[in-house]
Amino acid sequence: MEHLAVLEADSIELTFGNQKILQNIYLKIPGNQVTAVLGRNGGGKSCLLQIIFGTLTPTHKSVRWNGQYVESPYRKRVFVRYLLQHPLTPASMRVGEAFEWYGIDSDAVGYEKMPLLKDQRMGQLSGGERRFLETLMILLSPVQFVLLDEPFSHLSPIYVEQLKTIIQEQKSKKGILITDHLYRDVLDIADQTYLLQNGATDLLSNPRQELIDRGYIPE
Amino acid sequence: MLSAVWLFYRNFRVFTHAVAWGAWLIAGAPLGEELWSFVVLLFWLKLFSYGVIWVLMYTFLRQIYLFYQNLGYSITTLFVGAFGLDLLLFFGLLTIFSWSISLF
Repeated sequence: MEHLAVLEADSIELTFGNQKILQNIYLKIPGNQVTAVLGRNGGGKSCLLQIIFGTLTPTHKSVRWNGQYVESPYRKRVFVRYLLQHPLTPASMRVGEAFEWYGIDSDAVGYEKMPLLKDQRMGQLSGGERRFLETLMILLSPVQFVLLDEPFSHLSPIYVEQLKTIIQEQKSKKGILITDHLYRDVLDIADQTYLLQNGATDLLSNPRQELIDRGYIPE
Repeated sequence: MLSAVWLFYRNFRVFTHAVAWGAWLIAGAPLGEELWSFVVLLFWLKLFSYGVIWVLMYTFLRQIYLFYQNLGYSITTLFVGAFGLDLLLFFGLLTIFSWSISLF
């Protein structure tokens, strides 16, 4: 697998009606780092992730892998996977089967509850447990990049800490783009942080201070 | 790819078969020569029912697609595959049924 791959997104313009959602974007996602995108609700973070993944078509975009333009990244095999904010797997599918579909051996995941859960159906799990397992499915996927849209939402603190550890382990194998409102947890693991504000991204050199200065977090 | 298409098709196979078999029964359950004059109508009915499924899923269940898109399949690929599979199953079953009736 290519460890030093770089995914870049720029020249993105997304408009809904007369409202410009995204207009001045530049993101560079190195293949062995955790890249965070923070921003207010409705700021276009989820849209940005969908555009990079290739399932939302904006007015303009340029998504490049190692400098080469990629029209639909998700169509490229073993390239990118995306966790959205909604349930991912069919409710009737068994946990072990879902991992298998995504090319992951559920016995090798290293999650202590897996032997008990792998024969259960996704729809039988609690919301938090299902979310945790689906996030694992994306994170452990044998791909070059993963895009995580609010992976910590609806999770108990113990799951959040476990995910943070796994994200740190996985970044040696893939590039990870993460967006979440639990900014402390995100900043703990991010190697670089962008702020998405007024449709534009800025790479922050001193994230905690700049997020205060720009009014994203309280003093 | 076939296994992914089959998994996707399972979401609405009951609906699409109910519509097609219902229409066939309403038309008087034509078989043999009579069936061939009805095949074109059944094809268009199936196409229409897929249009309805597409709109309903796109409106209310759009997140379903992401499971398959993460595997590299587009929505168009899934629907074209499911439609082909559905036609094969429906007309295959009709043909087998028609042959069975003519034999006995």
